[in-house]
Amino acid sequence: MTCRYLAYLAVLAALPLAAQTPAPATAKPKPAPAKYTPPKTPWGDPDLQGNWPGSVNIPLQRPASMGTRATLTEQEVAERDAASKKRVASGTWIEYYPASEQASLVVDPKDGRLPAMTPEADRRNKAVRGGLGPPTLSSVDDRADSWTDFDLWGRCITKGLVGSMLPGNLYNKGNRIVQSPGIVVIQNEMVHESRVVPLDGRPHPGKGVRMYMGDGRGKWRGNTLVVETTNFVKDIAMNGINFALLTEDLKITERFARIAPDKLSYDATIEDPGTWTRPWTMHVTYPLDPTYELYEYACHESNYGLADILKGARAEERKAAEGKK
Amino acid sequence: MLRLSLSIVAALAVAVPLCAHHSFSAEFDTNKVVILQGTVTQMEWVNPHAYIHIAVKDASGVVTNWAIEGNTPNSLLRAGLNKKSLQPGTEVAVRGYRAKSGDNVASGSSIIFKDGKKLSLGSEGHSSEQATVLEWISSDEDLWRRQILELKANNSD
Repeated sequence: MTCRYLAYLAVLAALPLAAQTPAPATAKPKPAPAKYTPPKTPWGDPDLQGNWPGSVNIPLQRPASMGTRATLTEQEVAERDAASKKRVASGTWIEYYPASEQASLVVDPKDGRLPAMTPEADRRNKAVRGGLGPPTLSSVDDRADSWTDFDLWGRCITKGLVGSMLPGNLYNKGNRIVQSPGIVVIQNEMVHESRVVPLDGRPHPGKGVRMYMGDGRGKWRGNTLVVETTNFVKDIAMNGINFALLTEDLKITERFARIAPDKLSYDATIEDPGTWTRPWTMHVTYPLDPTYELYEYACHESNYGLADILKGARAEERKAAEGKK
Repeated sequence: MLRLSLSIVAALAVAVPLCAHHSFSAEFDTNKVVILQGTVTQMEWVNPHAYIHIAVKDASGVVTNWAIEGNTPNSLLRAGLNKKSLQPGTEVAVRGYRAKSGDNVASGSSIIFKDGKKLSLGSEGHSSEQATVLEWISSDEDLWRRQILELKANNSD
């Protein structure tokens, strides 16, 4: 088992076959929520501030056999939750998050699956590292010749966008929003990201300015904060998606809306015509958790694991060479 | 009187971790389970993973120093571990997987204290339903010895 895709695919794979076939009865339909008006900041903006940890278990994609059914049955939720608990009990370094009835983070396309990659993107990705493909979380299982065989997260650099926003990080799931007049700051505990998003309508910097988390510009559409982010570094992969190397045309449009005192609706539409054949959108509702503390995660501080993996690979090579003598 | 010893138990990998911030299987040998009985010399609250350093004396009296990799400090803190939990001089037994490099480095899966306290260094017990990880089993020294023997015999947590 590799971690080439979002780790939660492992949970999906663990679902019994019965849970992966269309089920006639979905969870009971809920009544439409009453219109909620979020509180305002002292300067009059909708108040999104607080800790919104991604403490929910929703896989990125749903099984193809589910088709366009977007909600799990109660039994499927229980099975997903049980699979998650089993995985936590048998794994290490990971935390438990309760399962949601939402079938997949991907909500568009309607089948809850990432759109096809373009043929050019497919060729570009397959050519990386002599045919091994771009570094992933587990790419060092195939080859650990250099730090370049580690993905950006393994190197403690970033999970990228939207990787940093994905719920159910293995640990350090915290997200926090802080506002001041004309500025919104979006923090992610993994990996200690702080995006400072101006709301004053200023343009993006020139095309030569490139950042791992991109350059975000925000605006209010009613009570929804819309953040458009461009200027990403070329040829980096988004952790937790499919580790495809993205192009310099990547554009991500996020929508943040407080839909209840303790619920934050989050959508992100990802457009990269050089990678996917069409845009796609993910959705998650984050719960408010004022008790959740964001701790510093200075990941690069003592990333001894990287050196240990390279040393381990060299030790295994020596062992293999001695075996041949 | 605590007898310090080192034993390395080769075992079938029963509960192989899937993945985390790093590829676990690239760093550690899941077939080399180590059970280390020794004294804490230092607790490193560092990212991305904390390290417990312990001194282990073998039957001939030779002391080796081991670094035991644990979860991220944030998770350990949320699981109930704090800076007072592992003072230098604390006697512990640790179960883990040895690094493929052959260095005296291991990924810790569980730790037990001489007073009977047991806690997970990995994922076990981190669920919100089991928030009380620091479970006091006994302060009985005979039981402590039996637990270590049991740990070695069962090769499990």
